[in-house]
Amino acid sequence: MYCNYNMYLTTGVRAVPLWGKNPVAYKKNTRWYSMADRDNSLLLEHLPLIKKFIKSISRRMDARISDEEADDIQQDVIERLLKKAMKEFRGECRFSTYLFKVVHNAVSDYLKSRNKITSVDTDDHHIHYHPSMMVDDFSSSIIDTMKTEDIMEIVHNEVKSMKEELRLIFHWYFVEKYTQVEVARMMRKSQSTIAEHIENIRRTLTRAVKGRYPEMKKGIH
Amino acid sequence: MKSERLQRIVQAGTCENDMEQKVMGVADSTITSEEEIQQVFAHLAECDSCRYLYEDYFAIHDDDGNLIEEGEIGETVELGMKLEPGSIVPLATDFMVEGQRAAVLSGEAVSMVEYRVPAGGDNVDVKVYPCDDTVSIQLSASGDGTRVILISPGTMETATVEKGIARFDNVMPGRFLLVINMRHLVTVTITK
Repeated sequence: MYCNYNMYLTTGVRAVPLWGKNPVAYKKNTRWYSMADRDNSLLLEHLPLIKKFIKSISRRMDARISDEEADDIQQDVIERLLKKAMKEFRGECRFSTYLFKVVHNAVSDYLKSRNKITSVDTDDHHIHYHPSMMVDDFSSSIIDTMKTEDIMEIVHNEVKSMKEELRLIFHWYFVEKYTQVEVARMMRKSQSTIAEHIENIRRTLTRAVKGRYPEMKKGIH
Repeated sequence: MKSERLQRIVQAGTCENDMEQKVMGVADSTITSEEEIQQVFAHLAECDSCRYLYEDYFAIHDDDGNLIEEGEIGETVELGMKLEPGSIVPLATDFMVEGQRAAVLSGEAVSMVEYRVPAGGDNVDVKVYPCDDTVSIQLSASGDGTRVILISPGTMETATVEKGIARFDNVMPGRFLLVINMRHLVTVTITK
């Protein structure tokens, strides 16, 4: 017997009918998520709250979040719920309150990853892959002895030795200038994961350049 | 101040003791057992992440547990002051009672600082008295039996309003949270 259950979540995840009545399953990209009827109706009923929570919580935190970013966070929240958080709900609070908690954590994580990449204080070894100008905050005596092509060679060799996934991220973010959000979409990963990869790439490249030029003080930008 | 709070929140991470759901259960009054409530507030003294979660829950929900409209989300009630030997220097705040604003403007130290903070439909008067290296905090509220909890890093104290007064003595300088009647929160920062 087919389950005539067919609905769309706002993110475009579609439930498809399966043999038998239960479980109802959702397919997102190539993965299936099974969902108990209770979880299903709870989540659908509270779906409109997610965006409201995102806006209220970010306002409360005095953080500016664009509509696009709010969409990304909403996607992240739904993924968290579908993958794990729905199963972990123990009923110790109302579901709407539990949803608030999930959204609060998602917004905090998002802001944390956003701060990590844009903060100059936490990372003073920025590296910007640009053919003509990659050196900043150097004294002229160091520039006199250093060749831009040398740095490019170092970066090129380091990138060549990275895993394909990281090479893709490097190319899209540092060379093609896609945003983190866009890279995350293309790679079907969360923005926070992409942010972490970008940070690791920066560290790796900086370490490699500093290995050749230890006199380098501040970041290359 | 706000961006500092944001930094503290993102640095706090998540709860390591899986207490978030219980904390939220106390917040939305699903949990009514006194033992669990005490357990949650003791945990709030230890866990920055849960404390911010608790604060933010009440900042965006009204007394009935409904989401406040985005444009009506209020400011955090934060009181700040500096402790000096035998006196206190209040910092500028909207919650200071009228008669003490001159002290703020002149930066002079006073023997007692008084604030009036919102707590549901009523206001609560908060008086802070210096006492050597500590302070005493006295709250004046209309409802006898109202519970007030003081949460500071690592410690939690409970007082109940009797004859209109609740009091905490020997409070060390630092940053702590006053929870009035379980849902109205006042952050107090006392520097030395």
